[in-house]
Amino acid sequence: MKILVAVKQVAALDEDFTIRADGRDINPDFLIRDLNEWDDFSLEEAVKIKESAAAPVEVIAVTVGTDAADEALRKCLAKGADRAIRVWDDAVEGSDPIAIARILAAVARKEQPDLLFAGVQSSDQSFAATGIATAALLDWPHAAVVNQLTYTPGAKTALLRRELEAGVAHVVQIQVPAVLTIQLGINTPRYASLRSIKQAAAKPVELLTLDALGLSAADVGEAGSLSRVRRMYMPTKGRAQLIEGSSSEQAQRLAAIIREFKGEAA
Amino acid sequence: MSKILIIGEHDAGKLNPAIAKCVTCASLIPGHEISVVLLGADTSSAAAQAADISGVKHVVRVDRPENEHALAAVFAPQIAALAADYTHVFGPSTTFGKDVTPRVAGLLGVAQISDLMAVESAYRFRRPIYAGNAILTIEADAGRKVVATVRVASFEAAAAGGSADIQSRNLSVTLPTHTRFIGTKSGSTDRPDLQTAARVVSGGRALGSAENFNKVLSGLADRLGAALGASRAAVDAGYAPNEMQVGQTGKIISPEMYIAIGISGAIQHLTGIKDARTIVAINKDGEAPIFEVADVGLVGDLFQIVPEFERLIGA
Repeated sequence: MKILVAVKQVAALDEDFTIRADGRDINPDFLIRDLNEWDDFSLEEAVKIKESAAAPVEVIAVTVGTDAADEALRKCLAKGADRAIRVWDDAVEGSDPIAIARILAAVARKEQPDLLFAGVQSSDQSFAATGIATAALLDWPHAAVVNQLTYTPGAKTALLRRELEAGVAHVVQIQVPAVLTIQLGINTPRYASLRSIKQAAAKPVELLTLDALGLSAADVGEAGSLSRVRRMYMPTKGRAQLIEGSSSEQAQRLAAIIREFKGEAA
Repeated sequence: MSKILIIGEHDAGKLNPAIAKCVTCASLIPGHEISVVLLGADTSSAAAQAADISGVKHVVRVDRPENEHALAAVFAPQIAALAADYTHVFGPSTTFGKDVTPRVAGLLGVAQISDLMAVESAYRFRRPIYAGNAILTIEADAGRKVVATVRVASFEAAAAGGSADIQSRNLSVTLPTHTRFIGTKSGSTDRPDLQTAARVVSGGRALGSAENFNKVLSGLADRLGAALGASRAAVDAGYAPNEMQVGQTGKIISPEMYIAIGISGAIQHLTGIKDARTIVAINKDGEAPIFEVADVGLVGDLFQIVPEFERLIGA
């Protein structure tokens, strides 16, 4: 049994940053890179299934990115992934979620996993679309925003709970192979031990090219993308009107504001 | 002309309030003609509500037994089939929209543009990235279908009083049976829903414990008729369950009033609340980023201010 976990090396902004000369993204020197936090949870979910299974389960982390993304893959290896795959080709640069989904679908066809996990979204681009688009391309069932999963390796179906609004959740039974996008809080991701981090550093990362996946440059990158970034700008920041005074004076002023807000006489 | 199809989320005969906000977003597109599609076993009641939204021209009902439960894998091929008649397909940025819309996009072979927060033209939109630290203007290919989710917190609901026609469609689409709906589980709270509440009281790590979180905030939330929320830090510290999390990693909300108590304001939290009409922040650190989005700020000890405030509004 196999679980493929799609992960992403995301970027967060440093405290100070500048916009790139072309005005379309942040200057890369000011980006801090790390494994997407949702992916920490989906990897943990896969490793949990592996650890509780009677039969062998293989957990494979896959990413699309330059060699800088190896760091994210090694983190996955250190936390319990058995193998790591990175897909890259210079033509992939500028890919949008459907182009990335084409690549992930090709990897899934090659690896034939029983489950494909992805995070609900990435913390940098936040499309929340790549995993599900992959399911559509594979014609596999999917479930988004999964916050509870019961699956016994070898079983034909998985039982899962999806978090909706208003404290409501849907319980769904889904046939495998399936794509699940995993929500924060579904488990408690482990920390990698120093020993496993050292071991992971020595493990190989398998590099796949577009050719090896039967894809061409026209399927990916800006050529395969349908939207482009025109301009980036920063949201404006304001400043609160501060209520001064002692705690009790502050509370009184605030109570007056709330009463006014509620349409009651102050 | 832009023909926009909005995927109508509904449950138990009630149209989700997010749909009226999607209509507002769609109505900002020049030369728009807006349709709302409803898939279900019997969508008559939700269809009447959708037809009443001002700005909606057509309501399309796709009623069949397989559509009884909102399963993305079942809905998506039907919406993709309908999409042939439209230039744009919009879904709400709710869990439902996040489930269905990317699958529609995948079936149509286009990339979804997620979380539209502003419309510049029929093919130019704005969306937030880097947890709301930056906003992008992106341009979609005018030759292809635009599939997008609408960041509902960014738009006011369109008014009632519309008079759309309601039509039923039969689609000859083969539907998968690989996903089975088992049931619905509801939370056990009497408080208003965090996502749609007019008022929200939210607590952060400064509350110090789960016990304090409940002691200090529950009474206040009840007196204000408010929903209770929490920051990521408070959830991670175990003071509140994940469903209560407000922010980019939780619920993105736009209540009339948001009261942030002991929340310093990580950017991802601010992204989730910045569209609230009025934001009140109580925090002991006057330099906390929460004061950059708050309208009213109180720098001080929440354990002194909040109980006094609760007493005063209860009087």
